[in-house]
Amino acid sequence: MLVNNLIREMDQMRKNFHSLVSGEDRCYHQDDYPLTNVMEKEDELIIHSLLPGVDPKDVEITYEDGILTLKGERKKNLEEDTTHYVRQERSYGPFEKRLKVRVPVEADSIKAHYQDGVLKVILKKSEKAKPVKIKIN
Amino acid sequence: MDVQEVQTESQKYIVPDVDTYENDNEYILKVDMPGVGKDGLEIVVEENTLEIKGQVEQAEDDVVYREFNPYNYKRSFKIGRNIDQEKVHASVEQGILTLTLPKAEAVKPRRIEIE
Repeated sequence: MLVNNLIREMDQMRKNFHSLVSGEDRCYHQDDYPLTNVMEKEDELIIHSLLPGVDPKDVEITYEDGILTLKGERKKNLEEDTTHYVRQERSYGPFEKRLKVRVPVEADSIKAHYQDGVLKVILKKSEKAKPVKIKIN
Repeated sequence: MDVQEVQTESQKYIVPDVDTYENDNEYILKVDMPGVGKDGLEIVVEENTLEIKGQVEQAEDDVVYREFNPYNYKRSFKIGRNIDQEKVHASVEQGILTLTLPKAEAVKPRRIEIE
């Protein structure tokens, strides 16, 4: 019984997380690339996407109707003709990832920067989505 | 084969994707390690084993949606005697580690001049 409660509770927690920000309906993107984590702070959401070797100039970030879209291409750059593959594990090609953001954010103050192969997008929560501190008189 | 995988305990680490290239003079390994800069990397060549580790400390408390685990990479390779282990070279850029493993002089192709 206790275990059942625990499972139910965990399931609910998971659902709550996913209701905040989630990968959009599966059919919209071919795969999970780029892998993405979302962190929530008091006044902002921070999105980390793993994009090693992708020129940030080749990534288009758009936000519309609560959907954040990351679109771009991971290009192959084999430096010389004299070099050949022994084994290939990394994948290349175009990607498009759509994330549904269920917290109201200020669309015109979205910031992004790229470091060490990670794209970081910062979404500022709208005033109405921020927690309000109530003073006790 | 001069570069051969050594199994990594994948429950503890992320096993990064690696592309391996070869030319006349060297092997080149390109390792995807997004999030890791120069400071988080540790590369050790010892007794014919090349071990790559990458770690970044990051606060994880605030993660509300997750597709990847904390940055904790590890992968090892056995490297043959045909590689000049003293001269293995590493650099990191845009989350990609590039390792250059020069071939030992003895195994490089040589052009024989005809007298």
